[in-house]
Amino acid sequence: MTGPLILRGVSLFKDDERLLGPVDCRIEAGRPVVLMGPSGSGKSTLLSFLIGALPPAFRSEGAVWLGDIDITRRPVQERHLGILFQDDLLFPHLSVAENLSFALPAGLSRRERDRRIEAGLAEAELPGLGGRNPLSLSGGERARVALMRTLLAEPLALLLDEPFAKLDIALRERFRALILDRAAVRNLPVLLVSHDPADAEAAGGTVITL
Amino acid sequence: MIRRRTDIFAGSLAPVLAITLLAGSIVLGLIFLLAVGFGYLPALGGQALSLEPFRILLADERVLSSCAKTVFAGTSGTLAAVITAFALAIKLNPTGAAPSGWAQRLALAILAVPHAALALGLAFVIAPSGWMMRGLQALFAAWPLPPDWQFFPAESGIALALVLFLKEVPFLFFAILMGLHQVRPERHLLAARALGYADGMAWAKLVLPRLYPLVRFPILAVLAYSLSVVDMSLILGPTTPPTLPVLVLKWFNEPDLGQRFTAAAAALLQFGLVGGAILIWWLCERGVAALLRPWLSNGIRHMAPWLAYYGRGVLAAIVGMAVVLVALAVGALLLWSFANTWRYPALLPEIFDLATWRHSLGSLYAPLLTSLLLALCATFVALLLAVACLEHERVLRTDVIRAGERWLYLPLLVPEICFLLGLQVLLLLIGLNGTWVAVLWMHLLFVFPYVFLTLKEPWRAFDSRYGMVGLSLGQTAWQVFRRIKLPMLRAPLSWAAAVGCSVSLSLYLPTMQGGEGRISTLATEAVALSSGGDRRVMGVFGLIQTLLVGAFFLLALRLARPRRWRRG
Amino acid sequence: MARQWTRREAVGAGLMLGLGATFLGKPARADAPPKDYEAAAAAARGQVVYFNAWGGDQRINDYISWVAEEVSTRFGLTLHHVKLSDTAEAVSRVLAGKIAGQVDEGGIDLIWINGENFAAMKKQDLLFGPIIPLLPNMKFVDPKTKPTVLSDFTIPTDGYESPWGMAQLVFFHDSARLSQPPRTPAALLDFVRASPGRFTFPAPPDFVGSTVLKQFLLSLSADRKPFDRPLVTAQFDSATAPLWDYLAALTPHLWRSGKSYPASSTALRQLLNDGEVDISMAFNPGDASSAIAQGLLPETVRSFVFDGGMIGNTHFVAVPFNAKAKAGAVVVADFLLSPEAQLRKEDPNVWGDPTVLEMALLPQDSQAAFAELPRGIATLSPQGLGPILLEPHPSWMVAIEARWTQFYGH
Repeated sequence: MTGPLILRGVSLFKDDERLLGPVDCRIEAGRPVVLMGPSGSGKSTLLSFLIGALPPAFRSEGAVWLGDIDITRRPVQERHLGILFQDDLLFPHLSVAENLSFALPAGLSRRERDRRIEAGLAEAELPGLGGRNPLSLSGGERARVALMRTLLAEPLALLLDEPFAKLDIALRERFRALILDRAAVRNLPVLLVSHDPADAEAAGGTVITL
Repeated sequence: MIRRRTDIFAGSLAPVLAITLLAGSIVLGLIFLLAVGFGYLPALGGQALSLEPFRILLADERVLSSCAKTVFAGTSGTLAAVITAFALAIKLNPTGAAPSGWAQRLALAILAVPHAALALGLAFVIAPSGWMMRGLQALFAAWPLPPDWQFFPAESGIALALVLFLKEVPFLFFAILMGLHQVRPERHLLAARALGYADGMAWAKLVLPRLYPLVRFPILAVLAYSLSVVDMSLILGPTTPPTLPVLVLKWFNEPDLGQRFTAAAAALLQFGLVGGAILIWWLCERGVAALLRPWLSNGIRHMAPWLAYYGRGVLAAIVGMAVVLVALAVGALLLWSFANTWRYPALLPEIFDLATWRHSLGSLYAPLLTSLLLALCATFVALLLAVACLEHERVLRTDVIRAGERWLYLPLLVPEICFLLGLQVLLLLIGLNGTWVAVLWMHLLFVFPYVFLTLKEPWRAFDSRYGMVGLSLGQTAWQVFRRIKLPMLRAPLSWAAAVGCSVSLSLYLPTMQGGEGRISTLATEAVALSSGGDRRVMGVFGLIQTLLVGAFFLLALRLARPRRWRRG
Repeated sequence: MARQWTRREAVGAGLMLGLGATFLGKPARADAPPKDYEAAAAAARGQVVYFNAWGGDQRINDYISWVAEEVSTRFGLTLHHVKLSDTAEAVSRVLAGKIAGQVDEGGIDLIWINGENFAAMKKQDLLFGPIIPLLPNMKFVDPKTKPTVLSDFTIPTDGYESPWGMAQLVFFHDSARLSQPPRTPAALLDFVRASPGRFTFPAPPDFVGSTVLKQFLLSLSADRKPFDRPLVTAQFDSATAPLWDYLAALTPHLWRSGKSYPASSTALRQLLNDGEVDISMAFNPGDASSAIAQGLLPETVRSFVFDGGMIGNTHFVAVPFNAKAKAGAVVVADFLLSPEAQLRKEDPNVWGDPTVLEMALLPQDSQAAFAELPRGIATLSPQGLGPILLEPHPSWMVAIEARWTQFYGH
């Protein structure tokens, strides 16, 4: 079912000026690709394009494939791409457990939901914090909840938009390891956008510099 | 040290003053009403407290069905307006980020039309001898005389609910946009969509629960207003019996002064009705929130297909109908103002002339000037007071305003008939009756809450570090306030001013009570003339008021527009 | 007497508002109320008079503007028209003044008033007077030919209000649609049975709506004597039975099947103009002509009355007890009674409100001027209007309104 995430001749334009590309790459599970570039080089815009939320001011060329399916024209919610942003974007009106539950598929029994939420919390090394208000957690804890929320939605690939940028160095390494580890366990293609050479090193995969 | 230097408003008594002025006035008015409602008013021979007024009130056969009709028309109009306004916001501007488009302009235009004028125009559109029927007659020629039936029955309150709905949707729509501005839901919505959620569902589960508390107050104000409205009810409401607020007014206007006790008891009932409705609304809100809590995180990502499909169609139909009705109502007023005669079944006036305009404009100059002056003064004072309150709160970090804030909104929730009579006596006692100061005070009661509501969130959201930067660059506190803060908050300030002016321009009863009728404004002239029932005169007044309020809104739109930068 | 009262009440009101009596006890101004017209005219110069009068008719407003100009040039006083949508608003303000202990600082100097509003104000000592002895132009008024000028709804005015105009209930019909209007209650019943939905009246207790009920009652009653006296409860059922029997037959055939009524007589006039009904009514015989001239009714509208007479009364002006400009108010009231002002008021091109003056008492030239006045296109001649029936005592009206509300009003 799942397959590699493939970018074919992807270019982005703003006001008819080429911002980036053409980018061609094939992202296999277990071999993360790191997209490096200074700020303003269009890294985040590329991720917006990949998930299907390119701002109207931009124009794109090229195609995105997931395995043997062209998803270039699909709406965001039908792409099954998980994304982690710099901000955790936890929903402040829902508890930690409810945030995770939000990502679970519909139609599960109550017991199954609770089981998966517990498992997710354990996986994120946050057991027992389900009832908490997300705003009461530390930055590192929130990042892990956000990661689990993304993974519980069972994405087919994982896009990372500098999710470590706001964490301090010690936390950053731990969280990076957790993400790559969890993605590897789930056999997910991973595209990491960063301007930190340490990220590229840790990911150990292909590095594309913009 | 820094605190001392930034405290240009800190020492002021603004919050205390505001709360005393507003809440105090209303509480005093209510105490007076309580006394009279329970039979105490020596001037009319009521020497002791008694339940007699309530006994008389409850023995009146009209009261029960009047309450029922009031509740039906008021709550159904409000509910429909709330649902439609939310649906419109999802559809047109889910993130609140889009710059003011046609929908906002249209909503502003409808907001600018005075309530009574809209009701009168609509009455003409939907009457059995009105525009819709004339259209049918022109097509089918089956009704040489207007038939004796109605499109929207007045007696059941449906016509009143309809006009309330039409008038309140734009108001709520704006309240929702303001709320969205605070929630800033774009990124969260994107996260939800990346998790597979359809747009509408993401909005319902993520935005609505956070947005609702921010618009709760405007919704309750609409509910209270809908249950207390007099002018629209007189035009489109039931008559046997009329709605409760009309009945209360009739009792207050009973020639037999002994009935004032019953009138006060009825006003207390009106107060209870609004209070009860607010309480029940709040309980329902709680119930719905508790019921829907599990639904928020149950993982369902799409609306039922039929809901998504028909919901869109139904919304389009409802909004389309509303826009057409409002356009027809305003168009009818416009035509009427230029009409000499316009009888069934003519689709357009048979004779046009400018007589009504010529006649009205001649006598309108003075009231127009008074209205403008009053609106500007009341708005200026309200802005000053509101800014002083908000600055006071920021500098001293006190909770005087936050704690007392709900009291500031009292004038918007308590039916005006419940406190204006008492205030009239208060004004007489301190010798202010019939003066400009009294009218200004009465206007402030209504203008200030709206101004404060419009201003408070943008003000609180202002990043105080800008001020710090200014101070560190050697500017004085006053310079920082004038050269940094005021320009940066220009948009909310202009909106608050426009809203304040529009509220002031619409006030009838407070103007009459404060000024003893001696200070005549557009609103008092319009109401006095409308008791003659001449649609042409109402058309002229309605249009002038609409244009005036519209001009304030347009001015605010211009002033609020972000600075244009040169490109490149 | 009023002074004693107000002080005590003022204290009560003050305590009630938690303000104490500190604001009260303002010394009464020395400006003594006028003793005669000459004194009033002298004191009136420079005064500002606030005339509280219903402001729903542009033509009446224009007439009052004319009065303001005249009294300004003649007596050097300023007249402001405070436009009311309901006279009771003014009554409420005078009452509030009394509660607050006002003596002569009131904001209302002159009120256009009659009927129940007058009865209530008189009963509560809210009026200044008697003013009639102060008005020289009362010499042109003859209570013998127009008894209602001294008796308002059977209540003796005792000189506390000055007559301003005559009123009589009159029906209007559109002759283009209804050529033979019903001239008796029975004929009206036949009409509504033949044309259901084409007749209604303003919802009582609207003033005109209640008057129509009283008109039905008087037209249907052989013996009208009981109605001149205060109501004796035991008499009510038998005396009013004809009215309720009649309404039981009539109501199902009314506009909207009698389930809804227009809110006022002006709303009813609009229904006639819109063609929704064939008959309307007003408390002014010249109303239809005036409305036609303003384009508010078709030119084919004509007036008609019931055989045997229609209810008529007089409307007045009165001065509140606490009026600030009592002298000026008296001067204006007298001017309103002058042949010149009355003549202009009766002109159908100005207002069309019948005069209260007695022609025989007027100077020759005034008589001639009145005789030359055109009559409005839809206005009946005095003969055509028939006899004036006197209003029943107000207590009957209250009881009839209550019973109607109980049967049809909810």
